Amino acid sequence: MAGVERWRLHDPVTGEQWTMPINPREMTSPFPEKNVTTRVTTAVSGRTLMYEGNTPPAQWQFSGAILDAEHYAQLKYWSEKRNRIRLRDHYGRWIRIYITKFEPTPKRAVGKYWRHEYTMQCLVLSAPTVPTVQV
Amino acid sequence: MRAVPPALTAAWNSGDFLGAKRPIARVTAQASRISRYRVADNDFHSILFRPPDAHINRPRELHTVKSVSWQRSVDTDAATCTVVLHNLRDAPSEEDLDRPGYYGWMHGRAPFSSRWDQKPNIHNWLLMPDNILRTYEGYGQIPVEPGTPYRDIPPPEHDTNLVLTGVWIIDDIEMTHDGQMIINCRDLARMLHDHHAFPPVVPLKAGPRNRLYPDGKYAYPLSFTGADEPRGSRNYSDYTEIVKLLCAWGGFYWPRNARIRHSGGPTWSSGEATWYEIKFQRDDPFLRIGRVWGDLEMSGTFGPASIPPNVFDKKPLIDGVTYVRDILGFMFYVDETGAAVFRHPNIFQRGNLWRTDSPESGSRTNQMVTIDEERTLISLTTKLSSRNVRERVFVASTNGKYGGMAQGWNPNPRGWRRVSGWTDQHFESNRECQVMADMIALRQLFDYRTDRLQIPGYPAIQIDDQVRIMERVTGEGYIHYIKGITSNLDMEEGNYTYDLDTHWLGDRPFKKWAFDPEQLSRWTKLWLRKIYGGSF
Repeated sequence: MAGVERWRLHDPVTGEQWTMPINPREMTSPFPEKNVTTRVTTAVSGRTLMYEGNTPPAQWQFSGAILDAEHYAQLKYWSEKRNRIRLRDHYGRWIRIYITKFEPTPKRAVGKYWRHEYTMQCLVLSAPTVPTVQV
Repeated sequence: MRAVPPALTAAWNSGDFLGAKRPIARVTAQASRISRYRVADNDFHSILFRPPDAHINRPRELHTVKSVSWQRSVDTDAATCTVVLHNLRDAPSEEDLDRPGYYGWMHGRAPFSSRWDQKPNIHNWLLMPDNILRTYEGYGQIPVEPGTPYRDIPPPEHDTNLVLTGVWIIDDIEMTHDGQMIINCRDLARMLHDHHAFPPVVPLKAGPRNRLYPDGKYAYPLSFTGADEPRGSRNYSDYTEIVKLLCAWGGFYWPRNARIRHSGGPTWSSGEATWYEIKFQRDDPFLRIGRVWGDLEMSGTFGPASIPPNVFDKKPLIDGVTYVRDILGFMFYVDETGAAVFRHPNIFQRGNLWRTDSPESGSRTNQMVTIDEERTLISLTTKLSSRNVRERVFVASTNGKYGGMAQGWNPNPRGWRRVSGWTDQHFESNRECQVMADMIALRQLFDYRTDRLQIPGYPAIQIDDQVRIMERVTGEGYIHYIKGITSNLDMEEGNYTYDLDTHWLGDRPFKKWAFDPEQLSRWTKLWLRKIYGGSF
């Protein structure tokens, strides 16, 4: 059985890469919601008309633990980038994102001065559905 | 009623405007240029067509359109359109999120553009007042692979899911700091509003070949001699010729060998030419060479009295068109292809005029769209009103020598005795007065029942069309005439609707015609028979 794939961030502009020391604990779905509105025709036995608009980018969020200063600094550094970046998750999916918010919350922990819980919010610009990592 | 791709009709009937059939609007912008054509000592103008050897500015597609909305009506001279787009373009690389301000007319070319590292682009000088927009709307788009460069995407003129819904001239553009651009336009009738009957639009001097003044007089100030002038001095033989002349001066001239460019550039991989040739079958005999881009019905008559210069002089050309239109009871509007339409309203025969995208290809059809409460009717408001009902209508000449009277059409006779009348110096027979009285009474009937309804957008429907509306609660099942259409297509919200303004055509939809022609006077029936053949 393969080991757990660490999440990795890649900046296509500078070529930088960073592998997270600890994967996030939770994440929401990176897939967008279809933009569908409905109307109904006037008859009692009428039908529903369905309209689809442009699909907006998904609002994606992942969260987890920060144990040390280096982890904290890297997350903050990547959240401040002003261009699209790519993230490879534990399923091996390359997801194109734009990080909109980094929310660290300090936590008390003996021996771990930089202990935090964090939440990262992103806009997902594209997310493949087929994982590339086999377990 | 116009021909649209079968896939568009199938999508409209399906009610599912999702995925590959979702509402799509594509818009192109083109730098306009009014070409001048010297024809028989006349200067005619064309905004759509260029000579074969002339450079044609290529239309460029705008790739960040959010919404297109337009309004067209038989009661207004010019249709209006509003296009909203995002004033940015995706960056060529991952370096920036986008290129804000991309569609600005001087993007990258202003002295201060370097402050933001802006570069010139192919859309410079396009989104400016007086340039041309073309809107294409429908359901779905030719599928392309993700990542296909814009230049390799089939242009909207070749997209079989879409149809041309308007040719517009930009009036004004609003740009906001948060990246929105709102473009307000009117259709090509704007040229008739902005051009006045004054040199150089009306030629100052007529040459010997000028039909207006064969004896070589000045063409300006413009006037038209009627039957009251000596025989042989008349400079027109049909009212419609006046409209043709005004349109040809105003920018609607259609030259031989006309070419129009589509937005697909040389790099588009279809291998087809980048322009279309728009041929016609024969020259217009009044203009001598070329035609008017439009559908102009000959009236078969001319004025008993001359039309003096004060009708036209220093006034917009549209005033002259309106003057003739009101004499004949015709209608005038500019259709989706930018063609001038001048003809009888489609109220005297059941069915529709069937149009493809060339003004020469008209024919008549019994087909009409049925808007059914079960399938396509989203909302309906019906209004009954007797405000215009009159029990008697009289028409007379001002000298009292001639007159005619018609019984008003009232579906609810309650003993009222309302009378309306019209007098005019131009009536010269009882027959003319009777026909006019019948026509006024008919128009008053039409105003009795009017509808405003909403349906999914369907470009096959045009103004001046007849449709059948079926709705239980309002008891609607009559044939209606479409006076106006308001279209709203918003791609971000995924919305595409038509709001139709209509009036009924009477209460007898299952007889030969919607109103009973037997109630018309014999002179009116004769007149209608002359126009429409044996149907009356």
